[in-house]
Amino acid sequence: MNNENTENENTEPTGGPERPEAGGEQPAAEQPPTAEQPPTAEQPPTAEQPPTAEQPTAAQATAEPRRLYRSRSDRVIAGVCSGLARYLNVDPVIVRVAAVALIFAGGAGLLLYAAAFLLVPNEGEGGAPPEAPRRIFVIAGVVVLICAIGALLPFHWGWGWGDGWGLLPLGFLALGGLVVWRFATGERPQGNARAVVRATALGVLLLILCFVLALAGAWAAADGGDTVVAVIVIAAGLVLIAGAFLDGRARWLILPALAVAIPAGVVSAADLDVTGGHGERTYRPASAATLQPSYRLGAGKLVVDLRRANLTPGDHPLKLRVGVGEAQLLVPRDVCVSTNSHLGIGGAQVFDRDSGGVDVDWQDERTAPAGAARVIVDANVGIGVFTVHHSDRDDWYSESGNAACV
Amino acid sequence: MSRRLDVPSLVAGLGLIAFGAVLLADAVGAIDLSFAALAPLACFLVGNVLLAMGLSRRD
Repeated sequence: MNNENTENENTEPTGGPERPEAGGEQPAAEQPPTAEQPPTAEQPPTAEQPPTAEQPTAAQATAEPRRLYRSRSDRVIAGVCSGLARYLNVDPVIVRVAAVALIFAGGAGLLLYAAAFLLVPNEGEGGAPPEAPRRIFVIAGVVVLICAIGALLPFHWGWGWGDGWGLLPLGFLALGGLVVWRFATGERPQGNARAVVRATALGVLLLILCFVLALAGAWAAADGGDTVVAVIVIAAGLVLIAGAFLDGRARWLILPALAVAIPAGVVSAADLDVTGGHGERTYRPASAATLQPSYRLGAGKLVVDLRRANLTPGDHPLKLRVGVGEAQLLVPRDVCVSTNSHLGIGGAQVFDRDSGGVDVDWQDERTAPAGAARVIVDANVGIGVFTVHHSDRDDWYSESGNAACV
Repeated sequence: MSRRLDVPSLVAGLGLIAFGAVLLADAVGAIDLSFAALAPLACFLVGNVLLAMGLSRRD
């Protein structure tokens, strides 16, 4: 029974003054139950006493506003449609069909359903005190956040506001904020719209904070501060353990700490190093003597063009290092290329051969004929692509392979 | 006043220390962290935190 119903039922008149107490010692008229003193086991309800929540009077029915609940008994997913149908006094099938139709209206159906799932209480829970988060809610929150990121991508790529999906990312962002708020506090927003807006705003702020922390942590780890980031993650863990023994006062730290730790882990796994600067750099050595043994770029596109280098016969070792972006090597057709490449995430394409994925270690070792030049490439790209071609044309797949090799 | 142990904080703290130790080992060159190792490690960390939060009740 919820608190609200308890209060309402106790504000009803108590009935006749002749109602006896359980012990028969004091007349009921002297101790009428009030909102502060609900009926107890020592004050059993009689025919004259106010009804229970299961037996509301007509006066209660008119005094208490009709409330929207998610149905427990007739639910397909979360009982939203069935609860709404009961509220509107229509067949649930009609509401379900309308909800499915709304999914194709810019995804509004999904958004509204998720919002109702978050905001509308379960049948019998209305007005209840904040409850702990449940597994299904946590899982749903993660799924919604992933959907939010997925929905933001087309918006970022310029698919636009005008095709019906434009406002959806913002809606998902707000919804994600609401989920994060509930995830962090373990409370369902109670009361009026202002409380919901406040919870959403706090959640969005937390999301933005986590996004900034994730970027900062990743950038710091990639810029040579990986040891510092690792120490920060360990320190956050220690603070959380200490907070666990103080009623979980540091629980709010979980999300920001994860936001720093996971991207830093991705940077470490990708061997991402952005210390070489950023932008687009093109190197065109005019001779073999000016060919440097190593070229590095932190983020962007690195092009090493050897087509006018007039490479002498023999081996020419070459290291290419790119943190995030593309490393491109252009060689003349009479030069053999032997490749040893490592990519954290991305792909390698050497003439008409390619490979890609995660943790890519790809070797394409070739031997040059006597009197021919061979470039031995050691390429390392954290996140991005590595390509070797004879030209920077678009129809790379139609060009011949590593024809200068044996 | 008795203080209750907050299990999600404890789980998250232990997981973060373990995760941070792996990052530190990679940073100093003791290990070579790859995505094949990072992915299950990260899932383990996040999954345990979610599970702890979902299973614990907060008054």
